[in-house]
Amino acid sequence: MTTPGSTTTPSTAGPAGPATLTDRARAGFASARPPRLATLLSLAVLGFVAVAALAPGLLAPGDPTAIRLDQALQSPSATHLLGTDQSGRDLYTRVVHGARESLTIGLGATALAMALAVTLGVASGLGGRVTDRVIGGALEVAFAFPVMLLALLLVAVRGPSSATLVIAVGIGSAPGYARMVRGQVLAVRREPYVEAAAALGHPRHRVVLQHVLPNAVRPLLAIATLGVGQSIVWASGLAFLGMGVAPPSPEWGALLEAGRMYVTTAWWLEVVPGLAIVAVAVALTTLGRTLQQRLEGAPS
Amino acid sequence: MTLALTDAAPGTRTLPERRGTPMLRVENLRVGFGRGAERTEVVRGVSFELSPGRCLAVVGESGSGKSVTARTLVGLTGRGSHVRADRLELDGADLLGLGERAWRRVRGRRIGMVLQDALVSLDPFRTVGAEIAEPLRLHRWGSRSERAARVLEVLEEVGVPEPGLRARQRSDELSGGLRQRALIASALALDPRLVIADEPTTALDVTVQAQVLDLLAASKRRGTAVLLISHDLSVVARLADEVCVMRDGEVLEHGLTEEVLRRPAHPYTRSLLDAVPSAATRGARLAPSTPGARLRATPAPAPGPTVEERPVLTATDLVKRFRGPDGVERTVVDGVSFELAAGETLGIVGESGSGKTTTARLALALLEPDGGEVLLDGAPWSAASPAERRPRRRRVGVVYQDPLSSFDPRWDVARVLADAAATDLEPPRGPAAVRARSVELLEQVGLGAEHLARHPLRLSGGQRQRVAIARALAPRPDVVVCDEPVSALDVSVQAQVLDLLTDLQRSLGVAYLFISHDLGVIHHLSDRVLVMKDGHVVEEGATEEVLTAPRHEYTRRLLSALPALPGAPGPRREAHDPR
Repeated sequence: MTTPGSTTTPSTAGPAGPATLTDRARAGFASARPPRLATLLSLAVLGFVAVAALAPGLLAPGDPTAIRLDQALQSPSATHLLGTDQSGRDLYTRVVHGARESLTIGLGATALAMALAVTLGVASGLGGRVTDRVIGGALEVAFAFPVMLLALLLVAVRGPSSATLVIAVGIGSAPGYARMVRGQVLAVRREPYVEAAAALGHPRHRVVLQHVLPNAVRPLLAIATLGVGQSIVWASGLAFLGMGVAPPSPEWGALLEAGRMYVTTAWWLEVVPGLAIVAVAVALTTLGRTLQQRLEGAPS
Repeated sequence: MTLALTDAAPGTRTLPERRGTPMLRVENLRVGFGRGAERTEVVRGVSFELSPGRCLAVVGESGSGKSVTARTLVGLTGRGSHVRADRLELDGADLLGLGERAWRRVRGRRIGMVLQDALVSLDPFRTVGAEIAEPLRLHRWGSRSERAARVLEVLEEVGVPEPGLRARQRSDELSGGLRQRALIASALALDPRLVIADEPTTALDVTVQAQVLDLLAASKRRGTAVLLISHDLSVVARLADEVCVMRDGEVLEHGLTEEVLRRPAHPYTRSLLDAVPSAATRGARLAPSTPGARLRATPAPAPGPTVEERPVLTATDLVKRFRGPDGVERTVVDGVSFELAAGETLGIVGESGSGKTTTARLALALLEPDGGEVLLDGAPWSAASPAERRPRRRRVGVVYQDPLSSFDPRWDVARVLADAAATDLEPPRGPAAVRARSVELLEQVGLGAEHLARHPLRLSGGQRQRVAIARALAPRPDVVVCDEPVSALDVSVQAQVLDLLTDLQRSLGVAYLFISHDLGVIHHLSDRVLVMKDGHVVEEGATEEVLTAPRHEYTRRLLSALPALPGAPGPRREAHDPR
């Protein structure tokens, strides 16, 4: 399994790219376009998934682990909207209840990646030449490994669990973000408004916190939304390889991995969780793009 | 031969007979953008004619529609534009309604276009030779070797030294002047009948500007018609035979250059001419009335601000070196010394690369010199530690060329001013005090409390620069370093901002270290002047002495390169005092 959506991997933006981001960000403030249909649809999908994650009982009152062997492997029908699995568990209920874990992994991994990236990127961009060399070198090395490989390594060491997945995917995707933060910091610190703040007599830490950090990180927020979808896909990929959350859990990747055996007889076991992942990833990517365009004023 | 303008608009003049028949005829040109009710017309009924070997200048400020007019003539008005005209002809052939394919046959071959910024207009990845050969190639002109020969020929024509070498270089290896000439060479490569030059000298130093204008004049003498788009009246005076003054998409005045510039018929032309700062405007106001300048208690034109002989900023033998990307160390500022007394204006004039901005940053102690020292109020400034400097930074303010990039893009005006005002109001005195101070600052610069909630993006260029000045004044500084503060502004806005700076100096007694490449601005404003070249001060002294009787050869060259407006502005100024 390769990494779907790898075309949106942050690695494609070299240090030269971010330099222009702030200029376009400025122009982006002025634009206020009406939301497109795709944006609204994405919001609807994410709203549904958010409710599923926070209060799954509202959408699917049943028990996701209730075994009804008499109703095993039923195709989608009125009673079982999306069919049942080999143990007769309702797939709709399981997908809804699995949202929380999948989203936790997606958001957690992205948050971790961003936190690491901002720390390393800012240290590299603002620290001296030696700090920059050391961090930059380390990032280059880490960057050379595919995210999946790093994640597999960590899971192999720590054993599969949600927490491990968050850490594994988070660390795996941090180097790409870190390089972007560094580039942004280097671009922003040369902006006249940073110099103007220094000329007013503000201490350096205040200039960094008030101007450099927010303006360097802002364009990344949009990219981070893309990262959430991607993290879910990676976590699912790990689960599919048997390195993710253990089977009884309705986590989407685990569902995919469990349904693998029945793919020829019960297609819905693969297609439904797969579609859930794709829908969330696409919705987040769409919103991320919209956000990016609003913030940067970039053409679509 | 009929008159160029048949409708009797105000300011229309009868044009005398011309040489030859017009090759370009534009009648009642209208260009709009958008659809239906949302359509806005940016060019509203423009008419002119242009004959071979003549130059027509279309003059106006931003938003006047001059550039759109020029773009219409090469079919590049862009998406969503709607072009109508009673007549739009080049050599009798209709240009109206040409398709993209047909336009491509016209562009480059029959109409050459020179754009403003050569750095952006030239492809950084191609050699200059390939760039100039492109129109030839696109129009299937000659064989490969013939094209190569033609490239060298045009480069020679536009006065590029060593054309063989230059043709093999890329645009970033050339100086600004050479780049602009390469661009002109590419426009002239196919020997077009008409050359459209859109602000061809705006980004250039005076001496280079003079060369570029000479070049266009030479091609005019060879029979090419030149349509010059410019906001700079002195450039127009140097090259154009006729002038067309535009505002809000309409032609306000059209006539022979001499006539229009000497005896402008339209009040707007007059105000444009008056707004040009020069030796003759010293001590006078440039703008007819600065809108909303509420502070102006002393309108009487005092001969000059009262200068106390107390030096606030003293620089001795400043040296600054930078290591270039090639690892070679260059001395950017070399032995610069100056003294800035309280309440006076010291101008620093020089071309790009002369080290004037580096000098400004050294004065601000944002850069530490490699040699020499800066004193603030007689106490160490450049030699002080950052912690010692910080509380004293409020004594020295700064105003940059591009105000927009000097504001944090996330901040509105209120936040920008509150942040600056907080440095003065210590201990922090609460939001009400900060707001009161912000409003006071805005009023000082001729804006009002209603601008507080705006984002700088939603302000005009002049308003932005006013906010930047307000921010610089917030900590009540003794010195404000102004680094090209009016270079990015339209003439009339520049006039208002210069007037404002003069007023503020009178009422607040601040001293200015005023950096500019524009000799007119420096002459208008400075008490004393420093002429810089290649990091050295080549001449310094009282402005009147240095700029009217220059001793150094370089200063003389700068002055002679400066295009001058015809006519004496003195009597004209009194003749039409508006109110």
